[in-house]
Amino acid sequence: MQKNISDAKKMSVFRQMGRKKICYLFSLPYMIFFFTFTVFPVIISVILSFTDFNMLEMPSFVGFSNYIHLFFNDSIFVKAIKNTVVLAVAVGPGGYILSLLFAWFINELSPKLRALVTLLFYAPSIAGNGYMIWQIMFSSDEYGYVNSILLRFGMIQEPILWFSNTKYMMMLIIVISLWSSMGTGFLSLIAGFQGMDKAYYEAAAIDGIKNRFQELWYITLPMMKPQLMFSAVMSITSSFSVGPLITALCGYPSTDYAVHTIMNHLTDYGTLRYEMGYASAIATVLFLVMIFSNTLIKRLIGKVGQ
Amino acid sequence: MQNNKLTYFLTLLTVTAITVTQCFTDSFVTKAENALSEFDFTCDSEVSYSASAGQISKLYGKAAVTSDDTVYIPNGSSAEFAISVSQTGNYVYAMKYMSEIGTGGSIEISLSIDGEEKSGVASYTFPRLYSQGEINTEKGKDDSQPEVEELSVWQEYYAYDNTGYNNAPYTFEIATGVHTVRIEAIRGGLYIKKLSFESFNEPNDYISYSTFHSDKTEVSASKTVQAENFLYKNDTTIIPKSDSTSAETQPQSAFARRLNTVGGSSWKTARSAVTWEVDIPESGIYYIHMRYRQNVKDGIFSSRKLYIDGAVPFSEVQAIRFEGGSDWQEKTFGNENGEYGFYLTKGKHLITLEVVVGDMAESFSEINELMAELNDIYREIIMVTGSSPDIYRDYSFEKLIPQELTRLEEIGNRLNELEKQIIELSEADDGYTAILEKLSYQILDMTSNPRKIAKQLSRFKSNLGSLASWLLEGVEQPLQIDWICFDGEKDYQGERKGFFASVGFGIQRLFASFVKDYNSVGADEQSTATTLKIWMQTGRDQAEVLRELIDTRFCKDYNAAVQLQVVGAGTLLPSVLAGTGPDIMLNNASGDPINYAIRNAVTDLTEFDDFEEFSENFFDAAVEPFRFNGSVYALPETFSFPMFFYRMDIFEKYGWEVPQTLSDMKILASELQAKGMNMSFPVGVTGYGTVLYQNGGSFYVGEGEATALDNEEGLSSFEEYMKLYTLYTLPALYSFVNRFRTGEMPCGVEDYTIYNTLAVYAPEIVGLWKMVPIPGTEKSDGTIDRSTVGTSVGTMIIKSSKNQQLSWEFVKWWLSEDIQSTYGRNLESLLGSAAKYNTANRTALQKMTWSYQEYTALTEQAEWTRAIPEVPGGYYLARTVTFAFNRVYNANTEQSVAEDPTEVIKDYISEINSELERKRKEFGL
Repeated sequence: MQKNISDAKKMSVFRQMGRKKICYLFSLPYMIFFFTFTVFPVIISVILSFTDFNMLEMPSFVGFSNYIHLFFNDSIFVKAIKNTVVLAVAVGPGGYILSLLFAWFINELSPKLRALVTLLFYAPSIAGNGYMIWQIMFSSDEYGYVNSILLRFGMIQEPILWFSNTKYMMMLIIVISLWSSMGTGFLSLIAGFQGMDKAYYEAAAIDGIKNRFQELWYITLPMMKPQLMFSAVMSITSSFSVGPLITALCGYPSTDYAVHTIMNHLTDYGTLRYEMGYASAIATVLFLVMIFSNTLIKRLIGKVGQ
Repeated sequence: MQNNKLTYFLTLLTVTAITVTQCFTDSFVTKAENALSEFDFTCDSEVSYSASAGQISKLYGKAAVTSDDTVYIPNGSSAEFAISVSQTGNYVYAMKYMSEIGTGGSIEISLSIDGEEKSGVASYTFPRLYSQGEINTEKGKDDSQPEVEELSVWQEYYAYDNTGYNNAPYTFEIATGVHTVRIEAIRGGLYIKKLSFESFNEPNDYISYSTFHSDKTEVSASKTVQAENFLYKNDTTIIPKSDSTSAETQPQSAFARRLNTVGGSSWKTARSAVTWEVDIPESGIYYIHMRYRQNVKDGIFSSRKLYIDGAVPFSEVQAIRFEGGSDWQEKTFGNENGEYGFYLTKGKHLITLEVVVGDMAESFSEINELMAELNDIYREIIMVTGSSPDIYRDYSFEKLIPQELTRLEEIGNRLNELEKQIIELSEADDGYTAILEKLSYQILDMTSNPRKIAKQLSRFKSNLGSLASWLLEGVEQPLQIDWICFDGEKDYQGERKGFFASVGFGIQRLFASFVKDYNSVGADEQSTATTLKIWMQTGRDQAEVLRELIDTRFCKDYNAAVQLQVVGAGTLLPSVLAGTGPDIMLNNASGDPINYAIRNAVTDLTEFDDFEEFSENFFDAAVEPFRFNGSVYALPETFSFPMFFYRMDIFEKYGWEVPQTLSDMKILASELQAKGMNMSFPVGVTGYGTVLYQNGGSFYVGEGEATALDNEEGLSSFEEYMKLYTLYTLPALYSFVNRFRTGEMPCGVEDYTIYNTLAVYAPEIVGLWKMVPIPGTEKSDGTIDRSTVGTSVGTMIIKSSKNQQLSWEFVKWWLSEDIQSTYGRNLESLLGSAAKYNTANRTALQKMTWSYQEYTALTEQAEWTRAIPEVPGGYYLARTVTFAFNRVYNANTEQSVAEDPTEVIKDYISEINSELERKRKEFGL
């Protein structure tokens, strides 16, 4: 009896699929690419993380040894985790909140001005390597802007090596990442704000909303949950994968691994040392951390407006 | 006694005197080789001297008198001649000479009269001559560059200023009496047949030329020369170029790349000349029409000097203007009073166009001098203020440097006048001279209120830089020519394609773009021969040059086809993994070959029988990074290492000596700093390695089992090295080129490839600086150990390749002396002197365009240079040295507790060792 029901269910799944075969056909091209270039590599990477693979010879199976080494033997990995978490916490939620606030402010502007200001905020993230201008500002040369100003006012005697002095590196990287974090998430938030139906605000005013903050919390944000979600996922994911920016500014690797992130650690092993197995283990850990944080975000965003 | 005998012997050898006066005559030599040298010498025979007249008094080095009455002076040697002058006066120097083939670049000589450099110039340039073969053209196929060959022919040429600031030759003031002229070959060797000091006469003007030829009649004949088919050039950078922008250009094809023009952006340096041969159908007056384009310099003209059969017909054609514009233009030589008629006899004639700066030369020359003065003044100000002046402080410059301020004001006013003068001469718009206006305004602003100087200083410096680049661009005279037509008619009579023809051509080109593979050139289609797949990681230009060499040399000689591709640096690994890799990979950074080798992916070159013999062509240190466990996995293409660069003018001014040892260098550093200047020393592993090697230390123990930095030499060297930065406050980051230019950093230890940058981007200090071996450490026996760290880039053969033997043949071909030097020279001619190639092949280095002094300095340093061995896990070492450097440096600048360098480096030792051990274990070593 029981068996029959499950069979029937199975049948119905296939029947349902058959019935909607046009939909599946339409999503097929995307699914093919998604599987080949996203899902498949992830699976391969997880498998490789249990092997010793130097990229030029056949991988050999080594069990959990990569993971054991990673967690118990690799002090730099621990440092990388610490840096990544610090960066992710500062830049992820920080960048997200900034995006949200700026999007809210911009929404109050007149349409023409809004377009201009949006471009101003969005520009750093489309500029690609735009963060290089920070390198000029904080150049370690005595002619670097900041150094030259500090020298002129007599605050320092010798130029500071901003991007290779462990004291300043983390702070600078956080500021620069925040500056360039107004990306697609920010745009989607602006779109969300603009897509609001004005009628809700009128209704809410009648129902007794007292100020703009209440309006934001009880009406705007709950209505914008999809955009919030998207923006949050984008900013968290990007905050975990800050890597190239650090390499470009602080060199590779950064002095004393002061801003060495998991991403940097990954490239260190993957491309420099040709230890793909080990790098895959790092990637797997990073992947799990990202999944975990995304679930956490989902929970948190669910609480918006409550 | 011995000397007297020698002189006598030489006198015997030099038999007959050559007729010195070779004035321009109407008789033309049809054989171009002879005719080219017949420049117009309106000579004053009283003061012309022949090398053959027995006046050679002394020979130095390897100089010799050859049997056919000429003096041979090889690179680095010199000869002395006795001359007697009957009348005191200003003379120009002319020489009949022949270049010694094979060393590339123009010949440079230094000339002194009674031990003095009379014209104030250190060296004079005499060009080489190159002939060009036929352009290989085949229907439907792309044209390929013709072969270029250096000619050994006699040429007569004046000692010109090759910067272009002077249109006339240099003048020498010589008093009555007997003098000794000493000629030294400082770049390239030469044979001298005759040298003379003459009075220089300007040619007559057009009016007297046309009056003289007034009896000649105009003819109804026409002859057109395609500019790309020229006979000679005196500069290898001038090559036939393809123009596919205009349907009018002849010959033209939409489906194939036709080399249909000559010149363009590469024919621009003063004194570069192209010579065409034209067969005139009948005697008479001709007008010269030309189709040209000058789209490189915006809104300003380029100039050329015209020679017909080696002589300037009249003064007006000494500087013909070619107006700028984005399109091709047609021009008939002439002025506002009408077209010039040239009298040409029936038969072959040589037409030469030579780059001159022309009408603006004088202004440019003056600006160049003013700029040198401004740089001096800038240094004076820096000595007062330091490199970051306090803008709120009143330095009272009026009291400290009153003379400089007065001079500065004069310069400011003069620049203003010069600007007006240039605008008037060139008819360019104000934008062209904006930098002059800006600078003069700023200078006057600074001098009228000296308190502003400190505030304006950084802008003043950047304006000086802009002025230098403006000037550099100003003397460049690019021009591209399609054809030259000699016609009896004043208006060009040739057919013109109409509007519809251009549209049709455009449409054809559009279609062609779908079928044509713009990347494949050459031997790819040959199916019979084995195909070698070669990848390179540098730019397109390098690939073009190599491809041309492969096409013309390798494929023929080895009966092989080659597929040459430019790939990104990260491509090799995945392709080797997938089994689709190349046979040979070029341009690999030091670490790569060993990285691939320990993973079994590249061929051990020692397997080939003639490896030992072949590898001796290279500097040992250049091969070192590719050596591991007795095997060699790549051979070096380029090799670079630090050299000591210094400004001779500044050193002379303050009486400083070139430091021979590191301790001298430290003393120099403090003297420099007392004057507000500084110097540079490589930061990181190169700098540390230099000190370490000079102290007899090494990076690794054995084959890289552990690091040797924790032994005594390692620790003390690091301490000594760090003192340069902590105690002698050398900067850790700086732009050497900029500061070297202004003189704030008048010397420094820098990689020798910076020579290229300086040569090209700092024209205002040409001849004022020198490159010598780096300071060393004095050993107990008194010798100076100048060891330093070099890096090389190499070529490797992929192990999975099926063409191992052929690949090895290619490697041997590519890294041979001949191909390396040709490649280097071709690259330099294509990209200019910024692309001077730092070959690792000893003998090829000799054949590059280095001067004798530079070459000896480079080889001396190269022999001292050592490499950092590449071992598994070796990347960790450079990393930790940087970490340690930063830690000590940062602690010092922050004036917190200073870190003890030896303690710092010790902290990292165990990290390095465990990485080395881990990697060795991975590879089972």
